[in-house]
Amino acid sequence: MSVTNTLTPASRPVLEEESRKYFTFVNLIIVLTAATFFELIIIVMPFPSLLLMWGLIGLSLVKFVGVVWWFMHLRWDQILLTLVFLVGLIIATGTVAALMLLFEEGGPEVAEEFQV
Amino acid sequence: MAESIVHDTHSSAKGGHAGAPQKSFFGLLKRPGEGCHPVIDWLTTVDHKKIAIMYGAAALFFLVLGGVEALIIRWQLAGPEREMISARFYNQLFTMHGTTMIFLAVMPLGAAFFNYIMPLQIGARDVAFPRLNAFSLWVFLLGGVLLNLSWFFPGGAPPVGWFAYAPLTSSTYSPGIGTDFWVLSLQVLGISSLAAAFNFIATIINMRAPGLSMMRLPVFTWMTLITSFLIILAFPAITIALVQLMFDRNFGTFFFEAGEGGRPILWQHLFWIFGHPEVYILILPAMGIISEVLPVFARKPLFGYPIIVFSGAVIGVLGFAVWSHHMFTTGLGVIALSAFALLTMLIAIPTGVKIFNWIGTLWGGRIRFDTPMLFAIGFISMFMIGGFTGIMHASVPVDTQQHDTYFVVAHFHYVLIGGSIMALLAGIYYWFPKVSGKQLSERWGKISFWLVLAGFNLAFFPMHFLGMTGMPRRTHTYRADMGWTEWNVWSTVGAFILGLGMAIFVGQIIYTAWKGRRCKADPWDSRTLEWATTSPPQAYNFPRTPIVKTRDQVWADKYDSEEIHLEWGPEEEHGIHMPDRSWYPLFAGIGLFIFALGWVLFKEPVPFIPGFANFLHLQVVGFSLLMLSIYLWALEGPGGYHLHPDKSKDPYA
Amino acid sequence: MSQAHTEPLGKASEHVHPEEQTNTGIPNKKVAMWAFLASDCMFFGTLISTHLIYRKTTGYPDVTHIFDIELTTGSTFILLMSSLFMALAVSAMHKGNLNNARWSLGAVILFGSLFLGAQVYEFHHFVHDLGLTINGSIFGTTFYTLTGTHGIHVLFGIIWLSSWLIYSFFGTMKREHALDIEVAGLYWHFVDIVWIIIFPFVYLIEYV
Repeated sequence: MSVTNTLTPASRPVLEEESRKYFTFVNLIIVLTAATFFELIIIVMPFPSLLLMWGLIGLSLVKFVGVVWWFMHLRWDQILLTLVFLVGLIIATGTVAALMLLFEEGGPEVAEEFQV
Repeated sequence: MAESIVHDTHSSAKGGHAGAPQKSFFGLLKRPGEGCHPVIDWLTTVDHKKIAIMYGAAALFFLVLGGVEALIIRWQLAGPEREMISARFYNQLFTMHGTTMIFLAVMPLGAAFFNYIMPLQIGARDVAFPRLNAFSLWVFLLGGVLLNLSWFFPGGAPPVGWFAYAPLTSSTYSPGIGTDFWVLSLQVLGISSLAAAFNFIATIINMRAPGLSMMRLPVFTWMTLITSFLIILAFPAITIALVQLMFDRNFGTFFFEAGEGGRPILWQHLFWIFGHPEVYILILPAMGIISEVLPVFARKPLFGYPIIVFSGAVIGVLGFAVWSHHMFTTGLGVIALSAFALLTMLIAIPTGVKIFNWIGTLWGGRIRFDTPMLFAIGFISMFMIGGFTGIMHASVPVDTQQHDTYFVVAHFHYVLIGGSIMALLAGIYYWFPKVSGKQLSERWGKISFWLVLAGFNLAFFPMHFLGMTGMPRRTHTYRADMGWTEWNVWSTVGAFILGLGMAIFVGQIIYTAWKGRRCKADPWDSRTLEWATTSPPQAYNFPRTPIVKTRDQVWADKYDSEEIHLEWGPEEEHGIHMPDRSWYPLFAGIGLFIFALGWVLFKEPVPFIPGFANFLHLQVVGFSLLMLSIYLWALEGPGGYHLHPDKSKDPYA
Repeated sequence: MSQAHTEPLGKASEHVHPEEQTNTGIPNKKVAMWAFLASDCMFFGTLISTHLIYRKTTGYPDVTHIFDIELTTGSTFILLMSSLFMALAVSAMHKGNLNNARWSLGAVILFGSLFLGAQVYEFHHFVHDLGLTINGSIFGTTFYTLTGTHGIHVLFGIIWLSSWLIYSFFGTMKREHALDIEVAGLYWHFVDIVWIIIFPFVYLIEYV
């Protein structure tokens, strides 16, 4: 059992690229945090609820894309991985959206109760 | 064993990438090596070919089991007001028949072909994760055992239908543990399918032979890829639905409890979000097999290869957008009805395109009518009938009339027997020489084909008439004055002829595997890469890496110019690297089985053992075994040893 | 399980097995993990749909008095921070800096545990102080199932990463394990983005 560093050090270009990523990541976390606080702030604002909904959707989309694109390395990886993920994401989003629409239509008594 | 074996010590000594530890962690279990006892070899194998054979054998067993269940159903319906079996037993039979045929017969038969043929078709040594592949097999087998265990418990098998609509499945209306068995075994089978699908996706994307670009892939491999994507995207929906149902039954939640704000209709949505892609999970492998068989026996390249592949992908995507056509009578509203009717009709386009391409393949070919070809042509014609009734169901008013009648039963048996099963039989007759090195008898094969075709049509065509005249599906019996007697008698006669045809087929498989004569390595004059090695292939598949030059490579080797002939990579000086056998996939599967069984028996009192109030202990034991196996699995690494091909056995070496 | 390497590892004399080279140059594990994440989109998509459908069709009473939105915002922030450290850990592994990777992994596990602790506190508070149980109302049913499933994903991620942290002290962790850390990291980030969706559409939406 040893506590020594058994990893072989990386080559210069790798080191430089990873060091650049450090700043990208720190910038990103600032944006993510800001977006989270924005989400918290807008819900207490007296905006119409439809606007608020789209605001929430937009802000969470920004956060989602930020994490997927930079933290999860899709920016630096081959396009194939993005495509594989997008297939699942698009079908899942479509299914969620279709379900929401289906249940909106699901009978008059339901439609009356529905309030955003 | 004739091959000399060199253990891969050099790489572990140097801490190489071939997977460091050679022996199991802590030395708890030694990894069986080359030349171990055959039983241990089969239990611990990671070879995709052995795994495929076990998949296939188990699936055939379940096919026979589901078939017997179907025959009992037909026997009960052979005359009006018969009381051969009780109504409850009848309900259990059609539930188990449907579940068994879909999850334990057709899907695993497809998986058997994926496992055996796909790695050979892409020129790979094995799948991307060999041990995960073994795990899928054991989990599937134990899931099948779990489902059928329900027969032996008080209350018996689930009587809720294969789509188990809420609220019939609630603990109020289905208090027996049969339903719990159904829920948990489907959950377990889902895990098996998902693990296998991730494996196949990684394999096809990453492990193709040099030169084998995506547009040179055999169509069967393409359909494997598309089916795997359907599996990984469809199964999560049923996983969640089953979890919700389990929570309702075990923890008193309200997901499908209408009295407490739950909505039983949600079950239908979630089930069919899974259930409709599932239909394509059953049929796309069949379409892939047909696209392999037709060119071989028409002695012509597949007509419109890119269009066939593209149509398969379009079917897969559209399959996620049509689920509500199973629910046209639930009051979805006009907009939803129109949208889903339109999307459903759209699916007819890529399907029709495929059928025209298959006909185009046959057109002008020098056709040989061997058994695989007969089944393939049977597939096209029978599947078309099922397709036509499918388009009828896309029309909302027509569907409203036919909903829950025998017309629907006729429709889906035409696509599943006339479609999937016919194609799978074509595939079995076609690839049996590859798997065993022996050829099935043509004479008995043809007898089996004509019996299956005649029996099938006699059994299921009258169901169209029965449905049109209003006979509801899942009815235990019917009155003599309804006018349904005559067609039901014919249907039962047909079912038994179909059963006879299938029995001949299964008997033939067993007889030939046991006593059949050896045949040539390429008896059909085939086209794709799996025929560029010995039949059956050696453990390493290809002694050297094939370098592919064209689509239909083996055909080009035989009949085309020199410059597009197959080339072989250099011999590997260290020998061929093989992954080690492992015990842990089996143990992890057993752990999962015990864990699931614990959930099934969650509310049951423990018999015979005083002091144990419930089966929580079973869950703890099962989960611990599962986690322990996963850890040891990860720690032992893929391992590996080196194999030197024996040139006297393998002419390709 | 084969791994493709963008650069040769260790000693040059070592031969690379042909089955370890992949067509795309992407390691098998990474392809399989992305396929799993695609599948998991559908998994959480179904769960979130269930929650939102019951939210709109049952019209359950105002639940804003139940939520403690400051706590939830705090735990959202904690999970985002854990994602940052996860990305840094992967980066450190690529650089070959084990010590750095170890500290980052430790931070991920710490933040993950904090998040989980906050959730346990939240559940405990809801059940015992506010009487919101899983079998008491439809809101409780869908809320606990959704957030609980996410919590189990977090727990599983913590166990996975802790295993690597412990493993790194046995001196057997090597450069090619950067891939394994990266794959575990993909999982961890995904759990984070699921929370990015849950936070506005389960919690904040109630205040709109």
